[in-house]
Amino acid sequence: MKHLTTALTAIRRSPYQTFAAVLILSITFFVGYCFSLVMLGSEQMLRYFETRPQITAFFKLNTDQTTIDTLEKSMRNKPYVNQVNVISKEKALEIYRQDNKDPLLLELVTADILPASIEVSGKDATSLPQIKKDLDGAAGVDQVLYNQEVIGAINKWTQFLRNIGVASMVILGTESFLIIMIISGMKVAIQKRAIQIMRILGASRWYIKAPFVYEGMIYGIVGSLVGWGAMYIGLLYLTPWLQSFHEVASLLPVPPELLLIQLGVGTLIGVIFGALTSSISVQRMMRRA
Amino acid sequence: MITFAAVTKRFGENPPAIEGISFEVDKGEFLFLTGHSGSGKTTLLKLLTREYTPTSGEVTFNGKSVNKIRKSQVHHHRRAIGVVFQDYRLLNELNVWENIALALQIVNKPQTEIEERVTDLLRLVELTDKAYSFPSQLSGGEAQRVSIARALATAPMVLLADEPTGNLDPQNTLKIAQLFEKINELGTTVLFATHDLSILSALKHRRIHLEKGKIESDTKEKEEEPHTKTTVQVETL
Repeated sequence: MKHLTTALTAIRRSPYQTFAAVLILSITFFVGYCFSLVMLGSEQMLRYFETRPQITAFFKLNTDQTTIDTLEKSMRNKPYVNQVNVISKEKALEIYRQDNKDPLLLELVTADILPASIEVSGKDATSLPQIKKDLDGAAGVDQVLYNQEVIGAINKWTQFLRNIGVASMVILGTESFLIIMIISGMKVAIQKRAIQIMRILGASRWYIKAPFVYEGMIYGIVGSLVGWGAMYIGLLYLTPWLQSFHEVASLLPVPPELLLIQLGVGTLIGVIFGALTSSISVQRMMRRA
Repeated sequence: MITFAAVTKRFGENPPAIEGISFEVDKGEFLFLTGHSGSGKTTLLKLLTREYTPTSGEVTFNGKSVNKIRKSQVHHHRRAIGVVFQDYRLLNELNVWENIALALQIVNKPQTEIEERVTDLLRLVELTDKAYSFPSQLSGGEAQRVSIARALATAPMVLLADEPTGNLDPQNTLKIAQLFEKINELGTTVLFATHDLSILSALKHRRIHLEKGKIESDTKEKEEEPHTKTTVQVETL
């Protein structure tokens, strides 16, 4: 309790250093909390996107309905298939008419010259090559279209976002570490004479270190709470806008228990981070004192 | 109680600060360490508080080798030793009471005991009326008495004084010297490093005279004339 009081007094006596430490930690935690939310949601978002691309197989013009139905049934029974949609010649014509308004062209095109097709989506991106293989070998299939680049692009962007998040966290984490080290170092340097006296009086290492360690822990806790608060306000503010995106809407609102777990874990990391950083800094200065 | 056995301390490539120092101090003894500046008095005291470790030889305190105390246990060793410095080394942001209480807080004494002990110590050094003054408001003599009270707070077995009268006028010097005498009479072993002749003539105690890091002479008993180095070695043998 005495060490905590000493730490609080030290914080009160150096408001600008405290503000700098809390500000940088708050920014770090804000980015960390935002990034962790994106990461938690990204798997679900990725899954959503992975199920969007379809493999389309066009039947030969003379393929009968029984062959098409057989293939449809067979594909529906595959465990890795998410959805199967058959486009008949008539439906294909209807789509064509919606897309093309030129009357001359519409007069020339009839259902007979349009192929029926089957659209198959997988449960995830890894099942798509297998679906393509199944459709390639199926009876009556003329051509299989599979836009592999779309999946690649999604994976690439997700990975890119992850890398950006990790890089930001590493840079901000290092910056926070150094700033707390410098602030603790400055405080220890100011107290160098007092530390020397206390050591001669028989103070243990912990007795000398404790106020600084507590101070670091307070920075960690406050930084975490401010960062989380800012993230939460931002999340509340952005929720209506984010809900307008169909793919993100299913993830909102974020369950409160998830947010509480996030706050708990973040604050624990803050406490450990603050204590460790201050401890290292005091240890270094004590060796020189 | 305290033994230095062939102790040498060398800093880097410089000539040794002390070389081949051997002597013993009994419990309750009052020992003056004399010699010019740089003769090795402070080094000797710092070896005892384990601020330094000897390059060779062994320092024992209360039957235990000081050299072998683990770093993590040094604070326990220091709690048995009180130290008084020439520059008082009081914490300026704490008042007289708090400065003395600090030594007791460090050893986790309960508040009631701290209050009792600080009151007694202030009475001993005759500074009861200055309890709430800050070091900047004290005279040199008063500050040194606070420093002595703080050193005595944990009831150490030995009191080390490194030129405690170096910054004081003759009147205060004598007062401080008499205070050390009183402390010694109460049973505390005192090692007093000084080159102040007025103290040495006022208090007749054993003296070890250091010269360039070596023992030049050691008077084993009160009132005796200094023995030469050869005599001391023969006596030890």
